[in-house]
Amino acid sequence: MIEVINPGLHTTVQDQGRLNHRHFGVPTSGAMDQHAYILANHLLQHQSLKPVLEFTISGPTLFFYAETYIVLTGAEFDVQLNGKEITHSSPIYVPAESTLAIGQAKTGNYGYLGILEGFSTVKVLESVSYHPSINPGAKLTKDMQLLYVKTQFQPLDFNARVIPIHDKFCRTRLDVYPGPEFDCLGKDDQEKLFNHKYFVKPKSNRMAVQLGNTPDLTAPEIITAPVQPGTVQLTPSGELIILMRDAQTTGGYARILQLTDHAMNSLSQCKIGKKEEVTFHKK
Amino acid sequence: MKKSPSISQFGDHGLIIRYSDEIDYKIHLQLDTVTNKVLKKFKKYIEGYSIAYQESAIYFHPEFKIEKKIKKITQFITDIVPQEILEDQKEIIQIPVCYEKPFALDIDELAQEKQIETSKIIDLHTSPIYPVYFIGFAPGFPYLGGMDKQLSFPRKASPRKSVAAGSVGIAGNQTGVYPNASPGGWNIIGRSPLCFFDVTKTQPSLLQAGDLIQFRSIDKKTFDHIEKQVELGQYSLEKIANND
Repeated sequence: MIEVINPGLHTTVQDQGRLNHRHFGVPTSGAMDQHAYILANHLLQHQSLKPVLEFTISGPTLFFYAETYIVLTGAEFDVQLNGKEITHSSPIYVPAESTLAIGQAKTGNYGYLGILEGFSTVKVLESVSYHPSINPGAKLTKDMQLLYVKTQFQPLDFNARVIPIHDKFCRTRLDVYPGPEFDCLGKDDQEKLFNHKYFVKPKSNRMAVQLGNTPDLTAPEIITAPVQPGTVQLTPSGELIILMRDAQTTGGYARILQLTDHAMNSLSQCKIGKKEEVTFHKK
Repeated sequence: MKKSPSISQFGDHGLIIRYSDEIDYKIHLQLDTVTNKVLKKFKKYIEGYSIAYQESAIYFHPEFKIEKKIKKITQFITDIVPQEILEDQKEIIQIPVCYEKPFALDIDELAQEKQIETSKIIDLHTSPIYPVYFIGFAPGFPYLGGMDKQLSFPRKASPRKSVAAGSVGIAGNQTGVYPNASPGGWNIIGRSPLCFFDVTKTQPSLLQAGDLIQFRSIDKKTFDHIEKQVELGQYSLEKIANND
């Protein structure tokens, strides 16, 4: 069992998301950086994908009652296990009665904590991913307890070594498809979208990323239509909004572009502010 | 009459089926039928879907290479014959609503502003048969068509911090029900004791695209009674035949 000493800013249980309930208006949710989520599972040699914890900006402090293995993926944070720094992207043995303190993000936005055999959180509508009106208990609060399976340890042969790539250019280069309303823009306006450097505005969160330094473009509202994570909306006032994992399933703004899955994961780790220049590229 | 939809890829694994650019219930029914046929035919490759007024999106498993299959799906849709799109006679789901205090927060203001008596507002709201176009915006939130234009009223200038689950409201030309307690700017004219979104059920949303509903006025005593029945899981939805 884990006891939550400090929940951090916004720490939630996540998995691949609730993909099959969108027709009931249920957002997909799921780990913002699916690549990091899958990597955490692979590093722990899970046969199938198991739930992880996702934290952002400022991570949680957790007390482990029983021994286990953990792994950290995604954004790099300052992390100490019983007062000692631990490495990112490789499995770590956690003795019984350990304290794991996850501090501030150093690179990216979303960090992941995987645990051997995953957290034993109950699935609601086929997923453990947090949504306030579906499973409010999947967000960490002070003193709450998290369960994990106490497995009999087979001596695990952890040889995996992963070197995360921190190439800003890779992270900020977003591959996109044309969206359903792309052709409503003139040729010149379409080109403007691609020959432009954007940045991530502070208002961004798990529902949407708002882009700054937008070109001089607008689009009228549309009749409410399906949207998905990665849909780039252009509003009548010229804002560019990229829907993220907790977004609604339908929307009324023009859908001018659609990010690839890979671009979604990259964008989730783009830092807020003008230092990182985000660009769109035709897939 | 059969209209042909346009079909296009939507991201890595999505497909959009799109009809005309205006809200038309007859065309929406074609969209509904065609979407359901695609869902059935390609069931094992589909991860999820959503539907709106004149468009649906179907999301396939990543292993299903959509760009290679899009021709096949388009052909399948084109081959659906018009007769198959005819809509069956449907039942109308009865939604009990108490239009009294303390639930009907804004009904007096609406009556005053519109110069319509409160009882007439209730009549106008309970008369139509409303089609459920789709569920969107929030879990279990139904997009309804068919509200009487006399009831049109702009949303509140500043939204309430919390609107109770089951609240029935009006915003612009639309009427709807809040499935969960949430902030909201709709004008609240009553409350239904039914549970519109229940995660413990296999079909969590009480309503779904393609349903027909009608609101039925109940008093506070009946509200309390139904609310209790719903809580105990003993309430069964009342449905009447559609004779249109």
